[in-house]
Amino acid sequence: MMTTPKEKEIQKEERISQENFFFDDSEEIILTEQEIQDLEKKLEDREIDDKTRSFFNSSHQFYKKLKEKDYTISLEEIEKL
Amino acid sequence: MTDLIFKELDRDVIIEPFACGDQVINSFLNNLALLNQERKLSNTYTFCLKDSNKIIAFLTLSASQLNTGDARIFGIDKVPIVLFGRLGVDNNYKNKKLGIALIKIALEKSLEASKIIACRLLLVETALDMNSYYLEKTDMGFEWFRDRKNSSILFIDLKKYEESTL
Repeated sequence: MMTTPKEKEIQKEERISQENFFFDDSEEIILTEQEIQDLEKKLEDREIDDKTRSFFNSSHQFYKKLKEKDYTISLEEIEKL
Repeated sequence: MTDLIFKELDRDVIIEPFACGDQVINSFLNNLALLNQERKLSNTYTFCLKDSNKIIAFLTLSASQLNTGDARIFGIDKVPIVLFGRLGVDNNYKNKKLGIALIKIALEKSLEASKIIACRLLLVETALDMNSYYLEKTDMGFEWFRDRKNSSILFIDLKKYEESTL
């Protein structure tokens, strides 16, 4: 049975809400020549867009605050992130 | 108010019943996480309910490397990285931004580690159809690295993270 674009979008939303990551580290990652070139270029690029900078800053502040409060926080505070 | 405590996994926390919707992740937490912690193979950090010590979300970090094969990058043949191996949020606590909170903590923990033993990237693996969400919609600083069969490997440059939080 075909999946409609709307159904696909719903499935995607459901996956986003899963909030799970799993890294399959059963095999070693060996970079290809192209990946090395691309990675070198990305790591030399020091540009950070404003939205990313703001996320980075908020991460830093969030952890600092968590530490100050002896690592206690309410679920309601986290929901406001 | 639901009070939570953020702590490293130890023998005092209540692991079961934890169900995040992914059997492999549940199984890791139930059977391996503490063992790996004690063997110093990976570190698991948790959000627990303060009154019961029950885990409602967790993440796992470990040291790893990217091998450049016969070639070199910046003159070295192995890039030191932090592997964001597992993240799980209990089904009863989904959509409360615990996942985002743990990504923020993973960044900060990785930065702390990189100040002692250099590591340049934080690597995560996400489902293939989810990579656009992390790359384009969330502005978390993820960059695309490689696709696998049903997944994508993404990274965050810890040097960029460090520079923007100075």
